Formats: sequence, C-alpha cells, structure tokens
Amino acid sequence: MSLDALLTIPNLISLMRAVMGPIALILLLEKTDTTLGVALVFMLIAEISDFFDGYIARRFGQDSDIGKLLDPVCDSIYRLSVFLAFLANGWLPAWMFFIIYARDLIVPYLRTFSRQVGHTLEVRWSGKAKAAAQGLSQIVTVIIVLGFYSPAIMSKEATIDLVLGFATLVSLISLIDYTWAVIGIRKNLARPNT
Amino acid sequence: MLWNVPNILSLVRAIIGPICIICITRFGESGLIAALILMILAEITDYLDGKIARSFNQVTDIGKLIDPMSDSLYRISVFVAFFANGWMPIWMFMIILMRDLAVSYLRIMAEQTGLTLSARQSGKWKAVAQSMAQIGVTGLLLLELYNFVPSVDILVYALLFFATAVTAYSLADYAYSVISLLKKSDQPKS
Repeated sequence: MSLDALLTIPNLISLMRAVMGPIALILLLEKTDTTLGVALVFMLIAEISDFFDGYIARRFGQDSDIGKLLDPVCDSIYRLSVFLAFLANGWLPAWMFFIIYARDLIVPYLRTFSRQVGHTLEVRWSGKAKAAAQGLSQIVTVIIVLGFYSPAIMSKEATIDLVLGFATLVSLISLIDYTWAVIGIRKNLARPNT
Repeated sequence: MLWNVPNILSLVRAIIGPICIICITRFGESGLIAALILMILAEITDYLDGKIARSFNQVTDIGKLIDPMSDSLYRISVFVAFFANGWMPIWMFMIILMRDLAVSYLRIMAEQTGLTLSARQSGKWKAVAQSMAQIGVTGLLLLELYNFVPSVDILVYALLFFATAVTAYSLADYAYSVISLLKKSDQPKS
C-alpha cells in the first residue's frame, strides 16, 4: 500500500463525504427550516457521492487498497454524524444509535480477524443494504421533520420511529450476516485439507 | 481458540455495556447504582482478561482483537447513556465515538501492509482516563443525588474533558504510527 494512492479522485470524494458529516451534524442541530433544508441538500450530495466514488474508481481503474478502506470509514463517519444529530435532537432512541454504531465498529474487527487467518472479507450484500437503508432513512426523516410529507395514518413521530427502526434492523441483520460469514471462514479452516 | 476464559471475560464486558445503557437511561437512581456496580465489574474483567491470558498462556490472535473491541463496545455504551441523559456535550461524545471507529480501521490499514498495529501506550491511557471519567461521573452524580455533596457539575465536566483530551491524543498517536508504518513500507527494501 502506498500513500501516493491516497490522492485519487474517488478517495477525495470519500474524504469529502467524511467532512460533510460534521457539517450536516451542525446544521441538523440548529433545527430551523433553513438549516434543515441545507442539511438535506448536503445529505443528498453525500448519498450521490457514495454512489459515484465506487463507480469512478472501477471505471478508471483507480480502485486501491487504501480506497477500499477509506470508502467504508468515510461512510461510517458521515452516517454516524447524521445519526448523532438525530440522537441529540431526540429523533433517534439511544439503543438504536448504539446498535448502528456497534455494527460499524464490529465489522472492521471482523475484517481484521479474517485477514489474520489469511482470508479477505469482501463487501457483502448486507453491507450495501445497510448503506441504502441508513441513507434513505436519514433523508426521509429530515423530509418528514420539514413537513414535506405528512403521513395520513400515523403521527410524524411514529413514522420517524418506524423509518429509523427499519434502518436499525437492517444494520443489525448486516452485523449478523458479517459475523456469520466469519464463522464460516473459521469452520472451513478447522476442516482438514483434502 | 475463541472460548477460553480471557475471551469470555472480554465478551462479558461487551454485554455489560448495553445493560448499562438501559440502567442509566431508564431506571433513575436505582439504575445508576446498578450501573456503578456493573461498571466496576467491567473494569475488573478488563484487568483480569489480559492477566489470565498472559499467566495461563492463553494469548491468542483473536483475543488480541476481542479485547479492544469489547472495550470499545463497553465504554461507548456508557458514553451513549451519558450523552442521552444530557450529561455530556456533543463534541466530546463525537471525538470519543470517532476515535474508536478510526482506530479499528487504522488496524486493518496496518494489517494490509503486513504489519500488526499493536496496542500502544496511548490506548492504555485512553482506557484509564475513560474509566476514571465513567466511574467518577456516575459516583459523583450519585453523591449529589443523595445530598452528600453540593453541585458536582464542574468536577463532572473536568473528568469528561480530561477523558476526551486523552482520547483525542490517542487518536493522533495511532494515526501517526500508522502513517510512519506506511512510509516505511513505501521505501524500497535495501
């Protein structure tokens, strides 16, 4: 791995997303219509950039080892910053925040463990599902708070609970899925080579 | 070797974390007392797991990962509860959250270059500073609740500030050591 590989366009896009996290956090904490609106724009840009950095990296052959780490870590920083604002604003219960954080903390450890036994844990479907569920739930939550959408059957609070509960559930499933994959690696190793 | 005594102790600590969240955020005074007892238990497991692993030759690669992971899960849980109860400013909580997340990735980065990022002294200081802040804040707030002492706000803030400062220093120290590892691996081998 080389440090020169750090300054490529996909990596810079990832880093930009990490910086947008704290900016979105500050805007969301203000809770006025204007700051929430600006935060929403930032969040949409961040989600689009998440799609593009991987695409550009593959398209232009700029996928590097360091990029493969930078992308998920910047993702975590960005999304956890937004969830932290939700927690502080009283939109997200502490236990949901903890599950979401724990998932992002445990997965890199699982990855390190796989490497130690000589196996690379690739990005799994559940990681992508988690990213999509979290990104979507964050944007929908801000849209509901801004009042652009008011559900007919449920209160705003109940709808936000449901949306964020869904993101928490998908994060938990992703944690179980990654853990399962690592248990599979261990079992394969235990088996004698034929 | 996942299921040996040191690893089980580490995992117990990880489970104590979420229980502390429930105790501190939902059960008022009695919850706070329960949390204080659990936190002391957690610190004891933190002391014992490494000690047992070394004295009974149960040091394993997986144990070296489970220990810091459980530490993070446990300590972050308590800080989640502190923050949710409004005892801790958001910027301190943010720094503490990001340090543990970043270090877990820095470890993979080092691993990719074939080098193991071993636990550094600053990581131990961070653990000590955080545990002092957690037990200290819980203890102080209990003393205040039962009117043994007047307002403890300044002491609580000082303890949390100290823990955050040491945590930020630890992040810088780990980042610096990974960068120098990477620089070394960049140089052509002579």
